[in-house]
Amino acid sequence: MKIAIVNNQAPFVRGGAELLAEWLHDKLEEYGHQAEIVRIPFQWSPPERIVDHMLAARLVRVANVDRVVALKFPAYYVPHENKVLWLLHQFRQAYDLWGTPYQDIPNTPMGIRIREAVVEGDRRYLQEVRRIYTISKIVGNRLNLYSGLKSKALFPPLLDSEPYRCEEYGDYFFFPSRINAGKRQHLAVEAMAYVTSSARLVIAGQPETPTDLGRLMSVIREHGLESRVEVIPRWITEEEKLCLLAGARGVVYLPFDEDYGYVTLEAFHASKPVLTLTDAGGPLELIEHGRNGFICEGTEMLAKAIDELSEDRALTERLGQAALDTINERDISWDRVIRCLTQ
Amino acid sequence: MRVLVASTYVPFVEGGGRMIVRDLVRAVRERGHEVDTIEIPFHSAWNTMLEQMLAIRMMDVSEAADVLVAIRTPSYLLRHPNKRLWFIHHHRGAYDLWGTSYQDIPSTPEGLATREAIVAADNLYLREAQRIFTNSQIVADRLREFNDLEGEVLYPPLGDPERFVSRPAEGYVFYPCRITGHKRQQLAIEAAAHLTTDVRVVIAGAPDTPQQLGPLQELVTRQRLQDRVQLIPRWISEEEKAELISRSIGVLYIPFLEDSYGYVTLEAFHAHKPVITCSDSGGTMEIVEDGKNGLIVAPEPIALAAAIDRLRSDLQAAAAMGERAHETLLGKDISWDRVVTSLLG
Amino acid sequence: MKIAWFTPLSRRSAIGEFSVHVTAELARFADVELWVADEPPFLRTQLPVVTYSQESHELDRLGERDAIVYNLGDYLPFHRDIVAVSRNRPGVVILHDRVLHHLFAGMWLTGADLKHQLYVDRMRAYYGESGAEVARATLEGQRQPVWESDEEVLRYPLYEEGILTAHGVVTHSESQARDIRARWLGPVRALHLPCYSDVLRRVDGTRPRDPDGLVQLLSVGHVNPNKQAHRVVEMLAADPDLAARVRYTIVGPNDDFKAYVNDLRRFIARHADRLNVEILGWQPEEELDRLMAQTDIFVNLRHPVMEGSSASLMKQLAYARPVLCFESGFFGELPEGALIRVAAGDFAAADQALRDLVDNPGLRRRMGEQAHAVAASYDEQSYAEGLLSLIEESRHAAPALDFLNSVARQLGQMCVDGMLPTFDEVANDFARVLSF
Repeated sequence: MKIAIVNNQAPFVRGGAELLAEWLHDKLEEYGHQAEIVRIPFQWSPPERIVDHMLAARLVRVANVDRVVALKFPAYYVPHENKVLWLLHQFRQAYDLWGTPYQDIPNTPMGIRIREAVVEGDRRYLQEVRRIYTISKIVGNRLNLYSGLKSKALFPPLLDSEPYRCEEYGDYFFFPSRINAGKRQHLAVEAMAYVTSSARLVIAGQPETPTDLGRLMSVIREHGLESRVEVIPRWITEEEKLCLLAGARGVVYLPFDEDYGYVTLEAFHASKPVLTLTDAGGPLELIEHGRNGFICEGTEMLAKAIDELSEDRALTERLGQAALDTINERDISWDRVIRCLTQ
Repeated sequence: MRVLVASTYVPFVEGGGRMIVRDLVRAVRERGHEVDTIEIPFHSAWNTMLEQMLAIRMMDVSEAADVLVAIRTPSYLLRHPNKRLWFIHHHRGAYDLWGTSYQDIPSTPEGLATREAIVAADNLYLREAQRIFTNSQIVADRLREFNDLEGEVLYPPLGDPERFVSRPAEGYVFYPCRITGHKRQQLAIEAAAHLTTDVRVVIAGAPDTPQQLGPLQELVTRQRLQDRVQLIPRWISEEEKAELISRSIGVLYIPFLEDSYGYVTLEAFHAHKPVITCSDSGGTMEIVEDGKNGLIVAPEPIALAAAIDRLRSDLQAAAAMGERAHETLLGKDISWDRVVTSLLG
Repeated sequence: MKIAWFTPLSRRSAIGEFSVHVTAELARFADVELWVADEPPFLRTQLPVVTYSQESHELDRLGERDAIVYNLGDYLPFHRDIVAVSRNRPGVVILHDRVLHHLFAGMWLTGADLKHQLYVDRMRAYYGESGAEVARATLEGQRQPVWESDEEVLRYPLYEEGILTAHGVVTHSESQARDIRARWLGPVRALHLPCYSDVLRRVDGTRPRDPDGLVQLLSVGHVNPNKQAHRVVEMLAADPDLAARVRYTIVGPNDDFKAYVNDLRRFIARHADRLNVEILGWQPEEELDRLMAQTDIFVNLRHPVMEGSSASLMKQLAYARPVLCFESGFFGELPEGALIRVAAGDFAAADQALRDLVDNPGLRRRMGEQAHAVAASYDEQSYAEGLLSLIEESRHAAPALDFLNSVARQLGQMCVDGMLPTFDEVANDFARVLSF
């Protein structure tokens, strides 16, 4: 089949959606299809532009294509009679972020009208779609809540899971991620203050701003944890990440309300249990408390979980194995993805 | 500088338009700029064109980059304060092909009205550009004739010219090109029947359709040219092509009325080889000069055979023409340096 | 050119009659098919008749036609199907009536699929808040339905709804064409409703002298208050001298306004001593022709004027008899001398004009000749030529209009209106590129 993967484009920006589109493209070709990535410009500032680009998407014609797989608003408005969504997210500013400081659209009569346009557009045009898949249940739940549409969760696999390995369950817990307020590395540090075992914490990632790094370092200093918490404040290579994963006792990952998060998946491929908080969002779809990781209510409970794993090797191994098994149990695979999207 | 290269395309159709975008992006990036592309799918069905054109007008990239270079029609509809066009061709069905069998808009009142609107939009929005370049003089002439606009000729260079080297000539002339009617491989085969020296003709390229190939093979058999003509009826790799050009006496490029001189001509010139072309081939006239860096002949088998024989009979003269062919490239400065400087300057 | 011609073809339809005559002429220049949703029996035609329903695949064949013509009039049973098709397959609309309010109110407010909110929204879209208010109050029973008052419904005609997606519009009155041009972008043409050539041929200008010396007056048409027969009768009752010299015959279907007709009969009965008035009801064509041939003066004092034009008026003119009417609507557009016109609603003036005609056979003869000449000049060929020219213009305008409508529809679906800048940006683009 000739498949067009339709995504938004913000010139010069390359993020998770772009990566996913590229992975999907490569995998589709691997599985014998012809694929092309179609990018439709999207500019949402000033907010009036949002409607311009909704109209633009509606007027674009994608010819010579058997199927469209669309990923985001408003690219998913591109008309095609054989269209399927693999939804990363709707325009959250109009939905769950409306009424919060992140709504991005002003509360003026014009802003309210713009929001209405987005809601109406989704309600009407998403009905043209044959099937809706989402990258996580959270996204699907929101879609159902706000647009009344049913969907199925189709978790994105890693592009290449081969290199992920478990070499041993060492004495440190690994927290890989950009360092910023949303990822909440500082909570992991606070938890370490309650830890009684000899467990260490290794934090690795590019600080979003120098302030973010500064804040984290001062929390470590405040609690006198310099010898127990190691920070690698830069982007680490794939090999470094694989290495650090391979030797970790477990992975600590504490983002606030994330949509998905590959970190959990990477940890599972390396057979490591994952420790997270109850409001982490995406990771909760994969982590089952006590089975392949721990979902904690606060830093003290997190510390207890760290101690438990540090002191009980058998437990760690059992959870680690279950973590690896989860991937197959949930069929998080390109086989499944390609099958669903090309059916 | 932040540069956006914009163009339109048809998904899953490879064509010159897409290659030039890729080559330009690479050239701009190599010269230290940040580049991204905006490639908008565009369907040339006449009754959807107005809507698609409006779609492009609605897309806002005006603050995304310092310069926008728009290539294939109608990507120049994108709004940007610093827009440059590297104009390859119009939607020709509405322009120079209107009134011919290639007209792709019906001559009904509806079709006429649509054509008017397309031309009106072009006239308006082409003028938004700060500078307009075209890929050939022919296209610049059309721009003047139909839209009353002046375009500067900016010849597209090869993507990887270093590949095309020169070696001592062996006894053949070479015609590498996809096999289809207006590329006139048939003419080359007919010429082969009139050759008087021992020169051979090597033709390589993927036929557009199987129907294009059959008659050529029959012609070779019928005229008993199996020893004269080598037909390689498939797509050949860049390496194979460069290899075959490098050892040829010269290269044939004899299409019917093309807008631009064609990449083949450039490849030959880079490889220090003369080019034989026809007086009605179109764009090749802009860089091939008869007797200097190649030969221009009437599109007839005997004249073409004579030209091929001429190269074969005096290999030194042919080699000298090849040297001058290479100098032509330098003289006309067909280079990415020139392209990037012009487009971003 | 291949034309699909949508029309009622029932024997009771004046528009059907019109279609049969005009398409017969049109067929000399184009390939015409009549598309009909009615049940037989049909008026007779030599042209191919294609029957369709909303679901039929037959409608897909319309893609093969170069142009589609939709005949719209203000009568739901005959035109509901035509409107439905015209929405999806735009073409040229011939507006036979000035008002299509009864048609659309009927479509939205009766039957299985009620669309009360749509009625209010459309009234607002065309006539602003006052239109919306009138609609709302009508629906809630707070006032007399707007469609029951001829004067009022002329202010909210809703013909706009009939031409929403049209590529071109034909009207039979210049004033209506002007109204439309002021508010609608596409090509508009006013054509004179033709006087059918077979009518002209059939008509014999002479009339046998009435044995009792009475001057014969005739009014033709659906009997309803708009035709003002009751005012004419009142006028005669108040002028016994005039009444004694005339016989007034009222012909036409009278089932729809039974109360009105009964009142009229009672009035006539009460003044039987001085009035010579008969109400004959609907008459078959031959009988109507006989009555018309025996008429001395046609009384056509309808007010206000609701139709675009009137085929029956053309017929009356063909009979070479004077026609007495008000200076109103399309009656005001006919050439000087074709009709006896008095100021709209002025029955005193009408009375005087009638007296003059009754007193003066010479005047009647002269006016009749002029009327006939005008009728003869409104021939089917001119109509067909005018229509073909408008169709050509419409085909040229079609891509731009369709484009506008398509984009407007998308914007509407997204609830985008003039408040958002997108709207203006799009409008500006259109204005710069498209020409109308």
